[in-house]
Amino acid sequence: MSVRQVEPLVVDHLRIAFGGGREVVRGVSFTIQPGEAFGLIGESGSGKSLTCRAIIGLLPIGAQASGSIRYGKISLLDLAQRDMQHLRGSTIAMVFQDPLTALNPVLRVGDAVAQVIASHERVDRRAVRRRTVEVMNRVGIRDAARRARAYAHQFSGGMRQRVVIAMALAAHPTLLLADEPTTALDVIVQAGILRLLAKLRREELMSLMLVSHDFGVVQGVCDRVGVMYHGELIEEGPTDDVLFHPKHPYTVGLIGSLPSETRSTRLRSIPGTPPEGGVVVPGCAFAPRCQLATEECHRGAIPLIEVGAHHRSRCIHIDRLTELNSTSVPAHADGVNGFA
Amino acid sequence: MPELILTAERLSRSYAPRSLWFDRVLGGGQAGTRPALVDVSLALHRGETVGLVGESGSGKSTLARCISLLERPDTGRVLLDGQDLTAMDRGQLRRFRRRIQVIFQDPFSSLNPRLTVGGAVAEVLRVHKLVPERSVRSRAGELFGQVGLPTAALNRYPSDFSGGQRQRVCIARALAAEPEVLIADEAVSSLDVSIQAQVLNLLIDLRDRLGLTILFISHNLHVVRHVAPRIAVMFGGRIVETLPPGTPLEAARHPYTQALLAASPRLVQDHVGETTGVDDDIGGALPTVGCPFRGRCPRAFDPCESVDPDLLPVAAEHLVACHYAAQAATPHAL
Repeated sequence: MSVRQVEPLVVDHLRIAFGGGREVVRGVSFTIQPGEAFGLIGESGSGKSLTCRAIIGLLPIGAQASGSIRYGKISLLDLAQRDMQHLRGSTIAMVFQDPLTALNPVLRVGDAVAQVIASHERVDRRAVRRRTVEVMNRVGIRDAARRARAYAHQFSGGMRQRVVIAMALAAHPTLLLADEPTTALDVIVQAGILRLLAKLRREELMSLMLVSHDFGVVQGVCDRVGVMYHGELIEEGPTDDVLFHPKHPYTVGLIGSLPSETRSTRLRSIPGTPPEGGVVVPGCAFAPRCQLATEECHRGAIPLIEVGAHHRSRCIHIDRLTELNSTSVPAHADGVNGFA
Repeated sequence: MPELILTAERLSRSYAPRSLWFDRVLGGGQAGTRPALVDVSLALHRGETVGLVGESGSGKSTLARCISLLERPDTGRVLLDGQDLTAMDRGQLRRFRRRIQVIFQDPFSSLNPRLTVGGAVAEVLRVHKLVPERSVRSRAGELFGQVGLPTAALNRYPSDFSGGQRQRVCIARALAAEPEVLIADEAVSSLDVSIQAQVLNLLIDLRDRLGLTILFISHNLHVVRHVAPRIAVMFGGRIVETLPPGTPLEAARHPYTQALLAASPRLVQDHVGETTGVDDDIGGALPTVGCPFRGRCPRAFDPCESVDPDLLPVAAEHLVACHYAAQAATPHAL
């Protein structure tokens, strides 16, 4: 086996557009250092999943990516289909949200894992079988040798997701992408999968990108987190800094929207709804829902500004963020605002 | 404590397997029914919000459907204001349906795409003859105002609305019936976090303003705690614990509730979701005799195999169905 070379992933001014110039990812840039766990947070339609899929070259038909994504010296967006296919699994692997659709129902789960190994390495059948059981054990499937002969429908949701993770790890990738890997699972099962991902990331010497709508999911696993809104990265920084000292009104609202025992009866919430995907909003896309917005916010693009150590925010009013805590929107106003 | 408005007494409901043939061919399942609800009792007081939490398959929705008589329980009674709904025939029941309304999880499938949202609300007003025909429109507009939608929206179709707005329409439609009990079955679960908070705030406002009694069902413990002072926890078709108002979640005694709490992500510095020794779901049917949770429980011991644990008090109004918790609460008994 060759020496594992974990490289930095550099996403630079990534844009993704659908036919007719409908741009849904608008100039996203971030770097994942070797061995780092990076969380990408956003609500539905924010472009987080497409960003993830662009990295592994699995964009839906009709989506066009521009800008650049580099993994070490390799430029992923310029890669030929065949070369990308070779990279997929052996270098960059992905775990999808729904483990049932990610698994072939007529294949024994062990064979599904074995396929990955056999297609990336020249080893004999016995070695493939041994490695299959090994990797299934490593993701916490007990009695793996016997369970390998079962089919996906005979597994519970959490165990299926472990099989999918085993498939992703089978060819020793150095970058693992996980797109909402626990969203379809019950809370207790989710905690088990998250602990597994955190453990594997440390033991396997690989980088991890975790895409989620849930701050709670990202917190326990990721070193750094980026927050997306309407196709743009609006805040990025060390996880605890972003979570406990957010520097963008959207992040503040998102965290205020989470129920927690220490909060009073009213959640802070965010008035209105996000703009529709692909709609061009001049200036800050969040401004129409933002209580701090001034004329300047609507005028032109807002750059990502350094607001702390390795902490950047796309807001020009961070000195006024404290105003958000005192103001509360009446529930009545919430709905009207966003009505199109 | 205010008077009781709704009581579910020892409700049970089983479902037959989809097809015996299918099970025989697969060789997996045994021919027989699967219990979805086992002997569940729950009482709602007027003006109270009760939270119901549990994982998928725990029987939350079956309980909601049985309480609202969308489905008849196999055994047990549902009493609304002292009247037994389960003993009524369809005609009698129809007059009572208005008084219990349900908001479902998916605001996309619960609205007729061919009907304007105003029409959906008007339909309720007409069916129950709640206002004279000439006032139907103005009343619908009023209801829209209550849920934060403009009157202009009445003529729109569901497809013109986002998920959060549709859920507001569903709430307006439920309120149109002037219900005494509102059942929210995962009503905010399909919404994005920021929208979810809007709808939660709206439900809390409406409850306080209209004095509604709410059964709030969710898989998310923190969301339930936020809305409901009293919480019932379900597992395997049974209520395994009820927490009285004012009891912190940390005081939970059932190993399942404790595991749920430990695993629920929350934003506390240096918090990592833990599993407290509780195993992942191992799949397959749950045992029907003894404690349904024993297969995953770190505390399981002999009686859990053979004896159904009863819901017993460990403190005032704090009930737990767990042999271990019962033993720990009364050490002298053993």
